[in-house]
Amino acid sequence: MAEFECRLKIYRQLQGLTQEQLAEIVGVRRETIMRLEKVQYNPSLKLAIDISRAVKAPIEEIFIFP
Amino acid sequence: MKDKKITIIGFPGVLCAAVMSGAVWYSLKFNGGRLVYPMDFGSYVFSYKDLPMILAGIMVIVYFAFVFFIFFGFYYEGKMSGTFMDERFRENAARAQLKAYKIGFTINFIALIIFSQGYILKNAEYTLAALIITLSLSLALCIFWGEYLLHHYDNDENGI
Repeated sequence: MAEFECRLKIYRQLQGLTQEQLAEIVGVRRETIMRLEKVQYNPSLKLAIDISRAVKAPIEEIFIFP
Repeated sequence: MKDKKITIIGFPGVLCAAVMSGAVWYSLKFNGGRLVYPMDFGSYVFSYKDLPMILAGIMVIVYFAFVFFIFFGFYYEGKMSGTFMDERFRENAARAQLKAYKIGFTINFIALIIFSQGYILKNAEYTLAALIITLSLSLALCIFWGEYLLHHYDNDENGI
């Protein structure tokens, strides 16, 4: 499944957000954020953009494709 | 929880298989293979020695109905869990439905090929009844199997 590297956890923690808080901000479940951080889920473009805005980091820095 | 599900579904299944095996052995050993080998049910006369096979057959039917309702329980579990339907949930739901209906169509296809040849049930009315039962059960299986797969995809620790 690991088609990309996900640094969401780093940027999330830099913003002082829990998984629950980030999930509420972007409108998904905490489990979805958890699976994103474990690279067990491939987010939609909209979700990726929403996450990028929430953690104040560029998309290409959060989700790194080889 | 997974062990509990395996116990609930697996143990009765093993029990049914054992009972059926014993009934088949009894029939072959002491009853001339009645209700084991194909026979003309039009001229069937009940014999007390048929009881093991009859009871085993009833047990197997009850077991399948039991498993069916277990899946029915999964349906309600998914419906009543109050799960927030985010994009991951919707994706899993679509994937689960697709797989469930693929399985259902496969069952229908195989059943049509087998029953329509007329070798098993050498009677048009029985064949029609068997086909209707099979198609109905496969439709029900599709509906509930989709809910079970959704629950499985959403809660699988290994993700997708």
